[in-house]
Amino acid sequence: MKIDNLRLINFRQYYGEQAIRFAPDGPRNVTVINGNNGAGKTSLFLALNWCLYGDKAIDTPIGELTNKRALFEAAPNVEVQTQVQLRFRHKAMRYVATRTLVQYKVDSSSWKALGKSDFVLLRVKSGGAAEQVANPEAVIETLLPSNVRSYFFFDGEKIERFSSPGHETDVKEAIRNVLQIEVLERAKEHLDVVAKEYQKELKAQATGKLQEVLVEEERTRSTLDQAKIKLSGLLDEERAAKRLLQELEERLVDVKAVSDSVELRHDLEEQQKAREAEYEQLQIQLRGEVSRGYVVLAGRVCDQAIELLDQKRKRGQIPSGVREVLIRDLLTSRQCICGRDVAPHSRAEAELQSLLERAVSSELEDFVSQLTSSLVAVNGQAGRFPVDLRNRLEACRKTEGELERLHDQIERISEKLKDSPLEQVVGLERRRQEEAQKREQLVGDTAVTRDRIERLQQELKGLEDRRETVKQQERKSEAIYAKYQLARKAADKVESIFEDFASSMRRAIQTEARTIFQSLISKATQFSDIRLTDDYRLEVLDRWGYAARLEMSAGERQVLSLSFIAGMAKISGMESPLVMDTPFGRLYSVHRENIVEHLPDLTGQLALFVQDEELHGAARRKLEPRIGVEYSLEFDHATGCTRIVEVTQ
Amino acid sequence: MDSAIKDRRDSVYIEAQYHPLYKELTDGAEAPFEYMKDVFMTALLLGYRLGKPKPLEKRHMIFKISAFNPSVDLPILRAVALGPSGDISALTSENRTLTLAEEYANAGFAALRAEVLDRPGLTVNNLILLLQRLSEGEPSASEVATTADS
Amino acid sequence: MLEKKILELLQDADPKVRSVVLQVLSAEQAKLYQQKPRVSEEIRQIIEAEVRKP
Repeated sequence: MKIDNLRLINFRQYYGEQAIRFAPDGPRNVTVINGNNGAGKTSLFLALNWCLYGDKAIDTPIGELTNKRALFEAAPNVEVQTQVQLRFRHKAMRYVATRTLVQYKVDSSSWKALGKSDFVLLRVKSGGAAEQVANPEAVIETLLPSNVRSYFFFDGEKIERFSSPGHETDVKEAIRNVLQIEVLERAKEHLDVVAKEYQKELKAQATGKLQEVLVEEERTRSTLDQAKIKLSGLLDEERAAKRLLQELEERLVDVKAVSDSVELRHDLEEQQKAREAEYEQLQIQLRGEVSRGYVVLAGRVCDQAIELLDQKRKRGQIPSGVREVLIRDLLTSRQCICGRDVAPHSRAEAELQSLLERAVSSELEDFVSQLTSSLVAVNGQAGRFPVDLRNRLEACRKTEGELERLHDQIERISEKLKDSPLEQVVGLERRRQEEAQKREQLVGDTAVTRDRIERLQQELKGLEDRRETVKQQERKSEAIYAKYQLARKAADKVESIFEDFASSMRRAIQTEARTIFQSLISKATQFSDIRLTDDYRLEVLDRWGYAARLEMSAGERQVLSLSFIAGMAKISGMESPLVMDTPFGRLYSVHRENIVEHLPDLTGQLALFVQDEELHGAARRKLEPRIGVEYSLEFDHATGCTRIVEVTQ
Repeated sequence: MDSAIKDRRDSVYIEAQYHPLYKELTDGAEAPFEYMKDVFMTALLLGYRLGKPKPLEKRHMIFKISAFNPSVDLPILRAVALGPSGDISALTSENRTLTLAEEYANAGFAALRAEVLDRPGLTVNNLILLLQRLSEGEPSASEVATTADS
Repeated sequence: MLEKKILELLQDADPKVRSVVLQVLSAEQAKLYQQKPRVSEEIRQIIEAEVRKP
């Protein structure tokens, strides 16, 4: 959506007809609207939201939308029109959205609105002809869904919520909405419902074995669903536990007296993790080698065979074979080597035929010599096996030793912390150990549940195969069966791509947001990187890789949120202007300059509603070259109305 | 080269009663063997050392021929089929080669079970010890014992 | 960008399954903003049409 023009008629403090044009996409894509509090910035904001999304989208009761002066001047029972019209473009089509509310004056002190507001959406063709769009609300929803608009039209000061602790649901919701992940969820749910419906019908029609399988399948599927829910809960708990541990760790680091020990312990734990991964790899390799270790038992039999084959070859006992090719030639040409004719159905022909059957192709010789060299190779492997095994076992032992050493070192540090003279350290450390144990328990439970899920999935696969086989035998239910199968597979497919889609989108947003963040944040900040975790926390990392918690200023949080929103918008491909109310209210001036410099690049169109003191000095100078249109809202105390005045450069 | 071979088959069989044990030896991350065919090959070579093939009473399909490693397993099977007598014609019949292998594997499985499953300790360790002992020339306990239990 | 990703993830699916999934996603997207969308009926129609195709 690219806005061309916003026109108001008697809307709130805007008397009569007034309009704002928006700077188009391009080098000068910023529209600045200056006005103090109360001058009418919020009303413009409201106008935009009301026009596109209706009466329910704004807090103000519609009775209060009409300009008071217009109502005052109107004669009784004369209608007063309140209107907001938005002209915009979307993907090469031009639109005009008009929302109108009619009120009429009952008497000098009361007004009544005529029903709800009326919304008309016109699509303008290139010639100028306009056609009315049927179902206009739905079309607007596809251009910029209402549940997403607050990420593009927003109050600058409230925006920091995304980066405040405890707002993971907001972040998650934003991603779900903007990326329409909800669509995938619903698709899976509804396909599942339809698949289950077909299954019921199938069960009712099926008899005997097919019915048995269907019943079992239904039962297993339901158990599997429950296990998946359980797993999801456990994973949430695990993540929370991990977060808590991290926090406790960070609090310990903060205590200067022990920060070195804590950091050392952290390092050792990282080493431990690396060694554990190595060990796991070694174990896997060892197992493979041992499994194929039987080759070491083949020495004797290979030697024996090699010798035998050699002897036979030397004694000429390998049948070099009457060549098959030769016999075939003789049969085709109907002439024997000795010159005799080979008539059809003659004894000569019968003899040649039987020779053919017994003929061994010359390839047998090759086969035997290949076999010999293969056996030699096997022997070679057998010879190497004891040494390879010994080396592998040695490597395992060495790693085990290292792991034990690391474990001891870590234990010693933890004991020291527990015995610290500092009470807070003792308390924190004890709590940390408790939480670590709880987490281990959770990890164990998760592994067990995952295992169970895997078994159930295998069972289900087995049942599906059985179902297919049994189905072959029952002709009756074919029609429903095909539908059931398709519904089932479609539901499963959506489920399987869901996680992939969600996590790849998360990663894409993170990457995009990171680039934007690094361009917006002042260089003087201590924050170098951002992260969007898989439990939807938006985090900022300091140069040691620790997540910054409360040290972030409101301004820095705003920048983080902005980066997130812009990143999300880019990835979703959703095109919308960014309309910000008081964007710089709480920003540290250094941040302000940086943002002002880069913000116009984040979006096609940018509209900033600023208070008079917000944008001045260096920030103002940086923004100047990007400003396409500028207005000033002039409030007249006498009339209580605001006039939109264009500011010309 | 393979056109020299006749009587093709596509499945390999074991004694039905051993199937659960084959599974035990391959199931799970701590199991000593990765694949069924590794169990088979080990049992086969143990059986060959004992010298007496044992025909199957009740067949159970355990894996397809394609599971064999063509550069390691097939030559070993053929060496076994060649046997002490060196009968070349045995080589060209796939059916004969496999049947003989199955019978040796059947005979050797009892020894494998005794050495790996029925001994105390981790099965993978038992297997390592067995391989180490046999590769150094020491006979397995089952070879020393005069009766191989069935 | 989103459709591209979804198409990518559906690449190795059975063609009928892919067709059904894409159609259902489209229907869900269109109905997302309606109150109490009645999608089941539409899904059944999509499936029935797909099954009838050769």
